[in-house]
Amino acid sequence: MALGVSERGSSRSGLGEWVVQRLTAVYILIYIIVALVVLSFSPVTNHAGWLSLSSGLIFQISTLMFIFSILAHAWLGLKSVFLDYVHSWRVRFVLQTLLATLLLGSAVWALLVVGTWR
Amino acid sequence: MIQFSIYRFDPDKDSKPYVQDYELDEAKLDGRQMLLDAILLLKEQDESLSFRRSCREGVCGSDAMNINGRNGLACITPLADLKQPIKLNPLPGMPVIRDLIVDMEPFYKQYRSVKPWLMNDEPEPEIERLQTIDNRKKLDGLYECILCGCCSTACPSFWWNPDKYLGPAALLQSYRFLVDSRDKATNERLDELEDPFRLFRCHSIMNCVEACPRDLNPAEAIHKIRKLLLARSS
Repeated sequence: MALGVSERGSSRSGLGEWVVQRLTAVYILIYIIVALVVLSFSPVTNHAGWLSLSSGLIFQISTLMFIFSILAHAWLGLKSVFLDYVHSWRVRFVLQTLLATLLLGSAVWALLVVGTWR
Repeated sequence: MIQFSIYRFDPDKDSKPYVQDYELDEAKLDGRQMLLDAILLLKEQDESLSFRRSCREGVCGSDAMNINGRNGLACITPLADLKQPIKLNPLPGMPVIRDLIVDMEPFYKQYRSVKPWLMNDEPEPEIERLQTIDNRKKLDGLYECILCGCCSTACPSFWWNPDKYLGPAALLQSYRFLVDSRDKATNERLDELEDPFRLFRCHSIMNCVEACPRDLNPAEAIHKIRKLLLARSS
């Protein structure tokens, strides 16, 4: 049917995704504000300053969470765009696989980078 | 003279739609002020011009159309507010039957799918199911919908997925029954909405709010449905 009404799909992920997208957005915003405030009160002007900042465990964890929030937010947001505009599930599958590879790769990369901070 | 540019399409004669210009002598309006009055006079000039209308006072919703780029009801749109030439198009995204008449079936199908009636298996009381004043107030801003389709056909999410996304009008109606104290099928109704398409294609674009000729707020109703789902799952 070209314009019939589809049955409800089998996925029950709508609400969870909606909530996660909002929570990650809030965390990203809070991190940016806190980072701006901290950096404006004690600016990092040289390499030693950066080393002392990046060696802190709280900084490392909050930054990793920030990066993962962006990746999760990007995953949900772009998936939503694909759901809106890409109607062939095959094309959508390819696009989502490419996106997932890119984002998971970024996550691993972020872990490797933060892992070198001492 | 009032200038008009009107979308024309007769599938029996035309291979594709075209725009036809009309002029109307203001004197003929004889004091009448609404766009529908003018279109009715245009139909006297050219009886092939087709559109729907019925109550001519904003209650039936038949004469919903795209007026200068915005969806609205011709019968309650004052001519004086419109920039000329007045551009009239059928409701966007809907299959055109002829000129300004569209096939509303995709819209009605989504409306039907939310089961817009009270569901209550409890024994019927002798006279009627009563509501408290506060519970009745929850229906204000919801029951007034006249199903003209201005909101859903202004919604990009509904344009892209009219078969899978319920659209603002059907979701407003869905919330109207979710929040009704006499309805006992809240859980089943919420089950039907928890799906990536039916509810969650709404991205709060808010075209629905701007388009509604009754000043209702479908976006707010949709947000309240999300809150109900959240409350249920937590």
